[in-house]
Amino acid sequence: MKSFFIITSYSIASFASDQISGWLFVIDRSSAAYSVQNAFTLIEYSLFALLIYLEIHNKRVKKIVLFLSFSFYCTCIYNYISSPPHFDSLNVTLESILIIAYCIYFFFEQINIPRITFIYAFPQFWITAGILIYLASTFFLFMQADSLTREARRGYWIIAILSQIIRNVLFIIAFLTKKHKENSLDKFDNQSIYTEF
Amino acid sequence: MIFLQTVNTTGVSGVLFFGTIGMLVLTIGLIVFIIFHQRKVIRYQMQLQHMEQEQQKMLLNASIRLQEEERQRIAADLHDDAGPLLATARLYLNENLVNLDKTTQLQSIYNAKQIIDDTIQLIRNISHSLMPPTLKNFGLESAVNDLFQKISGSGSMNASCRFHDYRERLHADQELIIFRVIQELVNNILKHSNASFIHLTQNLSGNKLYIRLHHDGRGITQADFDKLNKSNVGLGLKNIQSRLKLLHGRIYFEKDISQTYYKVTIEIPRIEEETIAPQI
Repeated sequence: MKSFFIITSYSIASFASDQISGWLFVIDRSSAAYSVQNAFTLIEYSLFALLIYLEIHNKRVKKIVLFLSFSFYCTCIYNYISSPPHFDSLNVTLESILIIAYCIYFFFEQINIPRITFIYAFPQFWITAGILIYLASTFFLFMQADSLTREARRGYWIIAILSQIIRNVLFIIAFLTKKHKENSLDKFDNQSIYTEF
Repeated sequence: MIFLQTVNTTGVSGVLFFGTIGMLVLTIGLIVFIIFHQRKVIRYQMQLQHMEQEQQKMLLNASIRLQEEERQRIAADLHDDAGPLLATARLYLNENLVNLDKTTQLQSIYNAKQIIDDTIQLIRNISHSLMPPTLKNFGLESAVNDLFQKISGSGSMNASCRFHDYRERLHADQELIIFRVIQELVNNILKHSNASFIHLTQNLSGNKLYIRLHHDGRGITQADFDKLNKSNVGLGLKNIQSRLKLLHGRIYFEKDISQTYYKVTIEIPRIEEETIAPQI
């Protein structure tokens, strides 16, 4: 249940951030729009990291996640203070690298758990796949967004939009999988690690 | 950041395009790999589970067949031995009623008594074969000693046994299972090995009880045992396996390093009484 709450919160935050920053760009208040985007990067990282943190079992890796998260927050705050508001590619790139690494570790942990149910029968798989595809496909776009002109960025933004669509489709599949699992009479599935769903 | 600064705007589109495609392909490849890998692992696990179920089924069948054989043997003993003996005794007693000659009367009563004594002995033998009284009253060590003395006494084979560390008796059900396993192994050695001696030793190491049988006849190795266990033959061996499973025990068949003797080692952990199935 926690994971779905996180994903719902993320979707709302993502929609709100897009709308607010878009509106701020329209009224020509770019610095405020960048601040909103930078704040959203922090929220996005926090929610994705929390999601993976809750799902992984290895305590040492959990500690590493906490440490990396702390370092990430420090870097973001430093970047925000040290330079005027702009699209901070460094923060977004760092965020993508960290979350992609967490997702890969999560999958690695999952395939090492002996079970008789297919991994794609669990909503968590679709959520992680959605995050992974979204961050991987926008990785180069966000990394270079700072050096692109406003027109070029607007042109390439189709990549981000398509990635968001794919991500949201995968999140919907996760929700549907959860619903299917709830309707299912197969009680053996309750033995899985995804008990919180 | 250095990379970002060095990339000029013309090169950006290429890096961005190929980078995005590359990342997407890598990610999808990773997800597909995870799915297929997990499917493969699950298939393998199911195969293992299926094999285990098959083996369980075979063990159960062996156990049922053995029970039936035992019942048939008891039925045959009662029908072929006890039945005619009692019928003869009845005949003597019937004759006694008709015949009024005192000497013949006494002779008939004596004969009937003899036959009834034989029948009692026969029934006692059947009862002892079902549950040896020595095992029940004096424990595994005495029962095994008794069994080996009987084998040695027959003169066909030199049988000896030595319990090194059996101060504390196991639970009665555990002792019975171990005794049955030893009986079955000894029976197999007597029937198939053509050995001239059998020697049994018992040891305790940590929380485990070890019983080792040596003999100099024809024997089997672990590979033969596994093979026989998977096949439809080797009912006795399957029975040993199913009995040991109840005790969470293990059995190893091996040839001595000198290649002269065959060794059978039984390893039994000392377990709580409740974990043993009550219907042994």
